Formats: sequence, C-alpha cells, structure tokens
Amino acid sequence: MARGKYAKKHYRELENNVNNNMASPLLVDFFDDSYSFVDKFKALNIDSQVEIVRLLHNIIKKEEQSPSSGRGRLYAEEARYLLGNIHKLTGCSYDQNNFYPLAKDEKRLIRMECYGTINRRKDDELSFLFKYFRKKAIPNKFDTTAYHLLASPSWKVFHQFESFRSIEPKIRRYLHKSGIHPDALQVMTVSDICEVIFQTFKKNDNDIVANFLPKSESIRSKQNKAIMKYAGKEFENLLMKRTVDGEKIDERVVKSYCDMMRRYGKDDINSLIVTERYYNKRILDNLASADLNGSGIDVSMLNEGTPIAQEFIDYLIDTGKADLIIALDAEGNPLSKKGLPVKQYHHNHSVMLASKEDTIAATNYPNNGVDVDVRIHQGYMHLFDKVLHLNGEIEQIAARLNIQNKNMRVMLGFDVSKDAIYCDLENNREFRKRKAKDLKCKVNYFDMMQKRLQNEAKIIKKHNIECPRSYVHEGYRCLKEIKNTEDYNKEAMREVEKLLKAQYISRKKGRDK
Amino acid sequence: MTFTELIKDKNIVKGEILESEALIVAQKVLCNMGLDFIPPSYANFLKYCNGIKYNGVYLLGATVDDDLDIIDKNEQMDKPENSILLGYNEFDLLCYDFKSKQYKIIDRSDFEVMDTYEENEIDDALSAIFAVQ
Repeated sequence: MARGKYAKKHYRELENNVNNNMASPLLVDFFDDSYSFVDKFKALNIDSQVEIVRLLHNIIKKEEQSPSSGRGRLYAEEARYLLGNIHKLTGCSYDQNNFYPLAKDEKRLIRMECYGTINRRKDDELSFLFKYFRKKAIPNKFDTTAYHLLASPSWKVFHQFESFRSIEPKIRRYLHKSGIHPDALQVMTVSDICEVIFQTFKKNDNDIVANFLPKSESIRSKQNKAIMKYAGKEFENLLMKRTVDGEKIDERVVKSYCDMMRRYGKDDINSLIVTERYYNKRILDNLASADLNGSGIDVSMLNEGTPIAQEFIDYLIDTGKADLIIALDAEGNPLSKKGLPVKQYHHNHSVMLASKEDTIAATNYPNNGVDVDVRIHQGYMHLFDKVLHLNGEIEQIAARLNIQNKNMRVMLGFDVSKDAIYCDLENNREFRKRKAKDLKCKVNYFDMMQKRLQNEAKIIKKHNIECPRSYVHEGYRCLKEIKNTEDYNKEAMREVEKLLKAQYISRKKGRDK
Repeated sequence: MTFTELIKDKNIVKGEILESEALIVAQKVLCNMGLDFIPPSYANFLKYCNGIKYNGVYLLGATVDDDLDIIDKNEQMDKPENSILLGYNEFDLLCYDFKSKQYKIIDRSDFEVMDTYEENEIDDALSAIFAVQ
C-alpha cells in the first residue's frame, strides 16, 4: 500500500534522522561569515528565519546545560552574538527584574477579559460556602439592591477591570433571581464568581462556555478596530507590499481584509469575504437579477469600471448577499487568501508578571498588545521566556523578551523598520478616563484573600454553618499560601486561625466519639 | 453542548480527514520522541476534526498542515515534562499529562497549571483552550 502524505512526511524525517544543529547549511553559512549576517538573515523568508533563531537558541541551551571549554563554547558565543543582532532587528530586548508573579486567579481574569468568554467551573472548584448558600437559595427573596458587589473581596479583584465593571448590573439581577443570600458575596471565591458570571451569561443549560461581552467588545476586536482607525492606511500599505511566491497579494484581498478588521474587528481569514472593488459585467448582471430593495441602489445607473461604493459593499455583506459581488480570478475561481498574515495577540508585558506599580488591568491595555505573525510569536517571542522556580513555586522572572517601542501594534516580520506598524492607542481622553478609574479600583489580591478568610470566620459563625473537613484543609492551605507573601497580615488572620482550629477540634472530637 | 457542537457554526480551518495510518504514525513518532500515545478521547476527537486553526487557537492533529502537525509542534514548542502538546492559544497550552492521565491547561510562559481535566472531560478541556468568541 502506498504511504499516505503524513506517513511520507514523518518516515522521511525518521529515516534521515538529521538532528545535528550544525548540519544546517544555513547556519554553517552564517557562522562562516557573521559580518554580513543581518543582511543574509533579512533576505530569508520567515520560516527560515524562525528556523535560524531556533537553531541558535538550541546551541546556547546545549552549552548552558553542559558547558564545555572547547568548540561548543565558541559556537555558543557566536550564537549569542548572532541572536543579539536579531534582537536589534526586531527592537526587542531582555527585560529582567521589576516583576512579581501574579496569582492564578489574577491570570485567569486577564485571559477572560481578553477573550470576553468564561468557562463553566467544575463543581469541585467551587467553595463549600458558596455551595451551601446556593443550596439554601430562594429565588427572588432579596431585592437587587441587597447585593453590594463591592462587599465581596473576590469581586473587588474583578472590579479592577473595566469589562467586569460593565456587567455588574447583570450580575446583581442574576443573584436576585437565583435568591442566593447576599452574605454569600462576602465569602465567595474568584471561582465562585466565575460560576455566577457563567450562569448569568450562558444561553443554554448545557453550555460549557459563555460570552459575557459582545463579540465586538472583546479586547482583540477593539484592538483591531483601533489599529484600523489610527493606522489603517499604513497597515493596508504593509499588506500590499507582502509577497507570496514572488507575487504581491491581490489588492481586492487586502482591501476586503482591512474592511473586515475596520468594521467587525475580526482578522480571521476563514470568514473573510473577498469582494470586487469595481463594477464589471458579471456583477452588473448579478445585481440586475437580484432583489435589492432597501439598498437604495438603482442598478440601471451603474457603469462598468466605476468603483463600488463602500456602503453598498457593507450592505451586501450584512444582508448575506456578498455572493453578488464576490471577487473571482481570471479562471473564475475565488481569489486565494494566501499571503494574508496569521497573527497572534502578544502581551508585550507579560500576562503572568506585571509591574507592581501597575494595575493588573494594564496587561490588557491597548498599548500592551501587539499583533504578531504566529510563526514569530511562537518561534521567537516566547522562545526566550525564562522563569526561576524554587520548590515548585515561581521564584522570579529571569528573562523575557520584550518589544521596546511601546507604540508597536503589528509585527509581521523580523525587520521592524519595514514589517511593523506603530501607533499610540492610549493617547485619548476615553483611555485616560479608564486608566484613572482602574487605578482607583486597584486592590492587592492577597489582601482581598485575607479579607475573604476573615469574612468566612464571621459568616460561618453568623449562619451557624458546620464546615466539612475539606474546608479546614483548604483554609490551612490558603493561610500557608498567604503566609509566604509579603502581604501577610498576622493580626487579621488571628480570627481565621482560631476558627480553623476550632473547626478542626470539633471535627476531631466528633470523630473520636 | 459538546465541543464539537460549539465549533459547528464557526468558520474554522480543519486538517484533512484523519487517515488511520496517519494516527498510527503520529503515535509511533510521539513514542519514539519519549512521549506517549495520544489519549483515546483526543484520538476520537481527531476523527471528527483532524486539527483546528481558528483566530489564534490551534488544536493539533495528524495532518500534513505544518501549523497543525502534532509531531512538528511537539518537537518545536516548549512544554512541561511527561506531556504531549495537543493545542495552544495566545496564553496557554493544552497538554495531556500521560503520567496523571489528565488534560491540563498550562500557562505558556511559566508552565503553571491553570486547569486540570480528567480524560472524560475532554469537552471542557477543549473549550477552555478554545476560549475565543
């Protein structure tokens, strides 16, 4: 039986078993003549450039893992020098220090805000107190005004983000409808609140993910629209210069792609509809036989060769009639979208580590986001992340590659003098207002966690709730986690420790009886 | 709603239809690389959808598409030990920890485990990595 394509691809690699870094002819060439390295590197396509970066990085890594004094060390030194040149080309440099690790909950919130979606939480991720109050809930028992979200230390962590602040009324309405006791807010964990948000926004009972922001309001969509608003022309020009197999991308493809980003904030090539920009006979015939009531267009007035008005293109796309003006090549086939960039959203300052002076909301600020070609994003930007671990915990960041120009919004190649787009998306009143509000809402996660634990002690007493053994364990685990931080407040945690001890003793007595 | 229902109306790019031979090759090469077999629940998913590309999310398969090839990506991308990389988005990796037999959502930068799912919770694991609207 003939081998399938996939089998052929991988058996060839296995048979060749070429895994020697220095065997790459590209790399040998660079090592022979490192003076002209940058020019040679620039002349390569992105795939080869990423390969070079990977090989250089491997040489250094190998040398770091088993240092040698011979040829290996020389190669590593040379590789470091060449990589340094690549970093200059991309305007990136290692950032070290001035970072502190974020809690997992904080990281989760940053992701949720970025996508505008929330996933169903598993039952074992919810606190026993939340489950207790959920079980006792009587629908519509409490008025909406009884739910003071800011009484919840965990909600205050959410409240730091503009997107979560915007959904507060809906959350209150859901809590009222479900009838969960307002006291629950004081003890709910971040996971519990995620569950409440999920329940508020899910469309069907068996949904596993819910959108809590309209699609057009997600960080990515807003970023795409903003780039088109402030640097649309430059972006279009950048795409027009791109070549695929030596040929430029068709102008109609570029224009349609830019329109999609401008209007819908989408950059997904699969959903791109490429339309003609000028009337031709085929289109005029199509339009003449179509029902265009409501478009305000008199087809008999249209002429071949004249531009199709943007509003008319938008109307046809929005009403599902884009087929009438779909762009075709000389053979009558839809135009290829090859050559359009496939991008990933890169947080310049890391999602996991933010400056202590900033709010965590700043991670999703417009000037912290760069749309990077996916190959560069995974094969270069994240290749140099280094984190020191101590006893399994993140100790500190060792190195991270960061783009130095905070105005870079798009990076489609290694040579940022020609492959990048720059614009400042934070220099406007709306953003300044948002930032001021974010700063006012800034809280320290560990302070909030301690406050929540204090509340738990009060609420357990007030509602005379018997705690399961898992709660005592979880409580001690939380305490241990907080004790390891500089934010530990011994005085405030005394009551919590007392409660945990009392619960532990009461359970032990019960067991002994 | 299962994950396959969730993506039904999305304009995703899929890898070519999974050939059983391709799956065997993928399993063999991954094992040769010191990894393990693709978990059965994910292999079942590949029969429906042999890799996905959508808005910055990649789910890998036994496909000739270089962006989605599970072997290439496991070779090229950093990931925690004892795990097979099955997909990724801008923030996280979707890995299968073959020691604990669990799917894990792992922070790309520091490999912190963000979420853990049992093998039968594959729908939750896939939708967690497919966090785009």
